[in-house]
Amino acid sequence: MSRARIQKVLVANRSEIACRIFQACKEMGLRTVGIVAPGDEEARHVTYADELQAVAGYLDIPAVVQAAQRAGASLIHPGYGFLSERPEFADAVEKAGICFVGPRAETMRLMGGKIAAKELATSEKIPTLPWARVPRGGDLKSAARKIGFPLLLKASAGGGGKGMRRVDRIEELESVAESASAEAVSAFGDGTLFLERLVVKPRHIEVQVFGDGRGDGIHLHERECSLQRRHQKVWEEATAPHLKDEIRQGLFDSALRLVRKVKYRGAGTIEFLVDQSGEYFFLEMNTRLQVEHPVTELVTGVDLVWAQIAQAQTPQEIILKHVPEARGVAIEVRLYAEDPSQGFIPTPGRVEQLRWPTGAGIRVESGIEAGQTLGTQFDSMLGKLVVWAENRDHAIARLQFALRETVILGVGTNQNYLQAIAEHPAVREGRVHTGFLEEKFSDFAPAPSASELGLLTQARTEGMARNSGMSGEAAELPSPWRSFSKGIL
Amino acid sequence: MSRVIFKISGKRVSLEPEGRSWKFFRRPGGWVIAERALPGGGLEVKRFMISERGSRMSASLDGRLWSGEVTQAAGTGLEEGAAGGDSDLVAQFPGKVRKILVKEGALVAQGDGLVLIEAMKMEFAVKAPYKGKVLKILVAEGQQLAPGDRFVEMEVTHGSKSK
Repeated sequence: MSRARIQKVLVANRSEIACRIFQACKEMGLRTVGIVAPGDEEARHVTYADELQAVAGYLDIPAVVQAAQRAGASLIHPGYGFLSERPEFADAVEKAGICFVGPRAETMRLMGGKIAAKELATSEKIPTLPWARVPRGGDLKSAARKIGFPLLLKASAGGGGKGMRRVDRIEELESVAESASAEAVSAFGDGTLFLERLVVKPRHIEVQVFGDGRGDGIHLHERECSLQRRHQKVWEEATAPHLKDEIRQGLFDSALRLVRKVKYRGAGTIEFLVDQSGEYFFLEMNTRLQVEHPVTELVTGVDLVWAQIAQAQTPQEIILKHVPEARGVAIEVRLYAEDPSQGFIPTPGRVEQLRWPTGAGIRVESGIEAGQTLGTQFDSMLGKLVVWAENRDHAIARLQFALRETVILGVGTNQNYLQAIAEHPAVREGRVHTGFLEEKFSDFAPAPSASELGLLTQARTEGMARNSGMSGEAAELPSPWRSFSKGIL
Repeated sequence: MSRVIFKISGKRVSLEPEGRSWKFFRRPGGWVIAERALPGGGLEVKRFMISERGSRMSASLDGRLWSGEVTQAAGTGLEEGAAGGDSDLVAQFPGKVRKILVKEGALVAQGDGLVLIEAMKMEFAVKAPYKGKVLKILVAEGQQLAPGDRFVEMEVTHGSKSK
């Protein structure tokens, strides 16, 4: 396919990531097509595209492919989440004669199965967490000795973390295994147990890669994403602080061995757990753009979305030839519509006021607009604040500035939580692990001080909380901004 | 100056103005500027935003968002840290009932989960605001909730002040 024939890109996604991809398309001179699902008409991405197509849902493969055909799009970018890692979608797109911006469907299939991906990594001599499946009555002890302690034990037939048990010593093994196996028999009719090494207080470090689709590729350094709440990343940074060069090099080499092995095409991320001693284990590969891709872009200067689209347009060319230098430190935090002072309950509603920060080294990826009503059917991420500075201390200070300058009123946000995280000494030192937020912030419930409450009460009493002089009128105003024209100094 | 009850962090706090009072100015961009004299001369200045719609009030002060519900005017005698009230048993936002965790007639302690709600791809529990008895369950599993829908009816049992 030649570059001249490609004119339109359909972005099969919504909110901030759709806007991010539209930006790259516009900078490349491509026409943009957005999709909108029922109930999402007020979303920000809807106003960003040159053309809009209605779909029944963002997960509806035939509807999305048909929308692209109706629009005459020659490329589909899936973003992250939704259909981005569904091989059936990539197949359907290619079958319709449209170019899928991402890896081949077969690569997704290969990397999508956790065990298959692990076996592939093992065959490439990449360390994975040792694991074993032991049938009821099998030789549990020797399997456990090979895996090492502590380990996790659960019913092989059950999914997720249900019925997971921690075993610290071989002496505990028999009794724990017996009850787990008996439970597995009664729950699933199959007493087979799954054992896996448990890493205590690991760091989550991931390597950004970019493959040329023909057996070579580069890495774009690493990101640390250890600060997670309920398995959801909250704070991501590039590059990882206090990571020894030999570990870093090991991660890069491992990641590139996988890229070469599967002839990976485009942008991908290889996730690792790194334990306290520096030993690392392959976790999984994400065959798409990551939410946290901006931190990599800021330290390397590479526009990953541009590179993805360019690679899709000209598959015969090598888009990213050299490993870019990593300069400075970038940090991203995710703003969610949730209220930390009430146990992180979701807080949809109308965005009454919105003011994103501006200033040196600040990048905002917004998914909302002032006046928009946020429903409950979509993800609660409001946007991402990303900062860059020449060193980590400065980057944290800059992040705190950006958080202070951010105002989102009408819906709850986790701003207080992010501020408190930025103030924590261990975070400032860069010494955290994946259980850190659960450990230190599980009972986080901020409350305003008496003097803050005093100030706000007085402001409310004097009518400052009303957007308009006449309170009855406020509800009809299409935008909270208009009313301010009256009260300006 | 009037005193209001503001519910925040699951607690009711009474809002009372401070001794040294502020002067407010609206600024372009939605900002409110508060100024007051410093004891040694000069002005202390705060820049913030505040918004109230219906009973919901939210304010952003020094990059921290405080949002809550203005529940009552003054004089009700509720103190800071008092046990929550029946407004905890009413949906604050739209969502879907995932699971009902209690049966009618059940005795529950303060903080016990009553109903699991799903909204914005997340799940969370509606907790008993006080020690009491569940009289009636007013929602069904799978039901869509609108703000203002009541989950259950409860009655306070003795010793409700203790946790």
